[in-house]
Amino acid sequence: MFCRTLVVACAALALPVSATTIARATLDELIEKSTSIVRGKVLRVYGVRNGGLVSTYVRVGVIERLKGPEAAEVEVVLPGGTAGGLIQKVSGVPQLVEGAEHVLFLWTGRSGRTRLLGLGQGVLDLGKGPAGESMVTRQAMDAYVVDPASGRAAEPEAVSLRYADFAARVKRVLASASRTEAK
Amino acid sequence: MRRALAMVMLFAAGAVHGWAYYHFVRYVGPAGFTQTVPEKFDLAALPNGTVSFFVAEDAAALLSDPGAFPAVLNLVREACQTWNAAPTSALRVAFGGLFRPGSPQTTPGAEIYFEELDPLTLGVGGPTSRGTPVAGPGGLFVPITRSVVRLNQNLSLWSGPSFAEAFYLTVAHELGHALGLQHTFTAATMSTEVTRSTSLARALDDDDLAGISALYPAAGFAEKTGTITGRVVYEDGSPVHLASVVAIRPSGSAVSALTDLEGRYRIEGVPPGTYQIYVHPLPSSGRANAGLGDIVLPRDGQERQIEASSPFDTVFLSGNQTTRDHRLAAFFPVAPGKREENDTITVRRRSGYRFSPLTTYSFFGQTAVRPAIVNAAEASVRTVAAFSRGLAANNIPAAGLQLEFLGGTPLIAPNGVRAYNGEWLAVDLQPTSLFGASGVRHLVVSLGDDIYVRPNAVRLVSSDPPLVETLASNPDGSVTVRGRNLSAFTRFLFDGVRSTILSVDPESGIRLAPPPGIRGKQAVLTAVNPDGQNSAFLRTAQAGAVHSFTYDSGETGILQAVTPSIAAGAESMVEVTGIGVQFDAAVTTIGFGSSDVQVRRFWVTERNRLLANVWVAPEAALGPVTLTAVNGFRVLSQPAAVVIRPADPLAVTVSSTVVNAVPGQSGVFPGALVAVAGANLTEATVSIGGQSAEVVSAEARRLVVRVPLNLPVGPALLRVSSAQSSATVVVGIEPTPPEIVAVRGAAGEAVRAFRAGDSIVVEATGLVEPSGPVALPRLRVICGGIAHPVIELTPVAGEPGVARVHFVLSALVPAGAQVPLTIAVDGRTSQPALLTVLD
Repeated sequence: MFCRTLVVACAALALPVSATTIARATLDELIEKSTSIVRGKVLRVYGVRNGGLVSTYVRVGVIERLKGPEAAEVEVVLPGGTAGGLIQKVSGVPQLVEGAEHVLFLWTGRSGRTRLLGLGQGVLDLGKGPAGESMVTRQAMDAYVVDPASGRAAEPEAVSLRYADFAARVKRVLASASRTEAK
Repeated sequence: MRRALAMVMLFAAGAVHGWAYYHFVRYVGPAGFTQTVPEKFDLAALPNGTVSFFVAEDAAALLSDPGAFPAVLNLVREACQTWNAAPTSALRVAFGGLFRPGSPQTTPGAEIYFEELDPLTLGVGGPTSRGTPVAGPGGLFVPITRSVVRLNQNLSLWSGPSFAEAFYLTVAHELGHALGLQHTFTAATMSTEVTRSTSLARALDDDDLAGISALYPAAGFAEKTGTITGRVVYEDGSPVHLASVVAIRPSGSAVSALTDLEGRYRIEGVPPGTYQIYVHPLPSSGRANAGLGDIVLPRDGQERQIEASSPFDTVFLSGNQTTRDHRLAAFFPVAPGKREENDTITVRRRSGYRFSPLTTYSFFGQTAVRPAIVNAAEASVRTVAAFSRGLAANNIPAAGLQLEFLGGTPLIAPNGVRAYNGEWLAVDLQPTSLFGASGVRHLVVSLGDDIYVRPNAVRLVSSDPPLVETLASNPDGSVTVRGRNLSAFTRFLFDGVRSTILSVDPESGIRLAPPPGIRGKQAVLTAVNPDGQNSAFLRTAQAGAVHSFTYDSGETGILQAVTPSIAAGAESMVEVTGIGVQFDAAVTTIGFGSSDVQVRRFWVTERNRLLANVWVAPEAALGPVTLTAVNGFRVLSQPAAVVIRPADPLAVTVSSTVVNAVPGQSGVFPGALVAVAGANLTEATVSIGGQSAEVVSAEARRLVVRVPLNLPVGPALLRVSSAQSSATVVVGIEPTPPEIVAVRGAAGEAVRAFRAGDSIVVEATGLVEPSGPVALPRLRVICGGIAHPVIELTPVAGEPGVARVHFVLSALVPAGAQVPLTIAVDGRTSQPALLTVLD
């Protein structure tokens, strides 16, 4: 009885993660819930103050679009930042640095503003694999690995994907979702 | 590792080192001498030490369910009251109503916005500052100018057993960030949502109270609680930065702190008791480019972000060693006002941290409740579910996995840990080990070479959740509730808004006054018990467990401020009336949309009238301000209700903070001498409640006045006038304090002297109200500075207004010929009677 109850209930459980109170999503859920997915380079990061609110705007040059409408650039809004002499701190907001390349899961609402889906959850880092292939990395959920020699955080291999495999996964998930919708 | 224990007086410690709790901090000073500087509100810049939270007025139009707006405002108000009630914090927190974004304000405050956030983000919050440290009474700090909380306008994202509870806890958590608190890992309100174990019934845990009180310590905070300090280093002696050190009681709450750049920690606000101590690294946030544990990392003077040190083994302290075996962990007594100083804790670096936060669930039908709540009174095996990444895979528990509760109970049944549904665990608790137990229990998870401690993994209770079986409307507008596990201690919420219990009858049920509503409004009733359970737990387990109430009358009403203008830089009484309103002090908030115009207190004097004391900042923007009122489900607004006029430096001003002027006496009651603060008071005359009051002494900034003898209890206008001007505020007239008539022996006989252990009967007035003798918890008997439990309070037959108080003289009372004895009701204290106490 407990087993059946648990299986049913597990499916309904959302797991918000924090503080910033954010629901946790799997990679496939991020693919489904985002309105666009882009591979892009951070061109500019700047803060804007609007009354009591400080927001950080991130202009991203789109290298490849994996989901959503075509655009050469996208502008992503993050809560908090520095502007107008004010420092507004918000836990859990990722820091995007000019010049860095990422895969971004984006969500554009009715207002037309584009945000990262799940704040830092919506950012994948891009790097090179052992054979020089392009890799995307999602920082391990709730686990981190450190190189004991340097004390620096290292990328957990278990959650690294070749970029080509990632792109294929996006297509597969979206195709599956559209089939479900068609039914 | 050597460990020595030293008990030293808290205030003899000298310089303050270590990072208490998890505040937003920066480091200043050279290496080796860095000082941890927190961001916090400057109490001196806040009127009455109160920070007000305002909700942006466009929220009603932005919410996905505009009809929920009043409930949302009431839950914000509840969250403010939660932080306001922290007894050891000097910071007061108030809900100020609605505000118009962009309106100029000079007084620090906090703003709540509902925004279009992405569908995974429920809310964010944090402080806003200019980043510049200033000196304060407690050392350097960075003043918060205006904190901001942003909540998702899509209310459907909040789900769970109770929308009200889930939303409320999110708001309370984000408000904590706005007040200057970061995340902790102790299952408190400021813990991340997966491990949080607070509820509407117990909103703040010990760690939350310690965190807010360490930042804004009230008088007596350090004397009432203990402090644990020490240092954490690696085996090579290098300090560990941002290690979390936790003091925990096996069946109580945890309090924690982080280490600073030098590896030093300082756990403040530890309630007296016996604790075990463990140290663990910060968990990953699970999100790219976010700090570990979702902590906003400290910065140094060059604005460089200082990362956490690399991970290490989680260990308990054990004598002069550390251990992963919690059964070998040592117990440390923590006494009030004392500091327990540990020697350095040495930890071993490891390549990675294996654990993710563990979540536990119990199930009521198909409703999952997190964290698990277990009825210990039930005889059957109770099973809870647990989830933490890496503890199970493919329906097989991880190799070497062991689960135990800290302190040994409850026991987990033999073979009682099973994997389910891929990565989930089911944990069977032995019913015999639960019998009679209550409160929280902490789970220790071992994977062989490392451990993880999950505070408050299970809450043991002694009954099932409250169940509402019937809800019936009465002709007088009240409702009657019947069900199971309901009592006078149950809180009844209508869409999250409080109702008032009118009567409790085992036969006929509990009669409630629903909060003021609007015709046609439908509100779901939720019953919340003090043990943390609520009636929504049973919504899927019990047919007919969800009940709604529909208002058949009620209008929003119209609001009006009778007082046309108030002066900047002063405090004034504002009279507010309404048409079609039904003010209920328990669920009413009024505000003027600015932290520069603060309502200090208000009294509902009639159903449609209230009187408020309103403070206006000296630099407040002049001109009209909007009055808003949240009155149950009614949200009212009156633009340009009151005009802020310029300050007049020659005019009489008066503060509503009126205090008893007699040393050792408190309260404002008929006949009392009270001190009134203000300006330009030298030639002032005074009336209270329309009666002339004797001015005993007058200085420019202080009057001493005698309260007229025949004033009724309740609000009264205090009017201070000079030849040129006058000022009016409201004061609350309290009942006259008790007066000791006689002190006798147990049989009523005259006694000249007493010894420890003697029964004493005190005859006193002021202890009987029209409804009968005051309840004993309101009564305090102090003899020789020692509080004495009251055994009995009985009215004296034939002597109206006189009652006998019976207590036994404590051996702690020092002998003497003139030992003072006082009796207090609700803080109103009698003049002392002097006793002779013999050795």
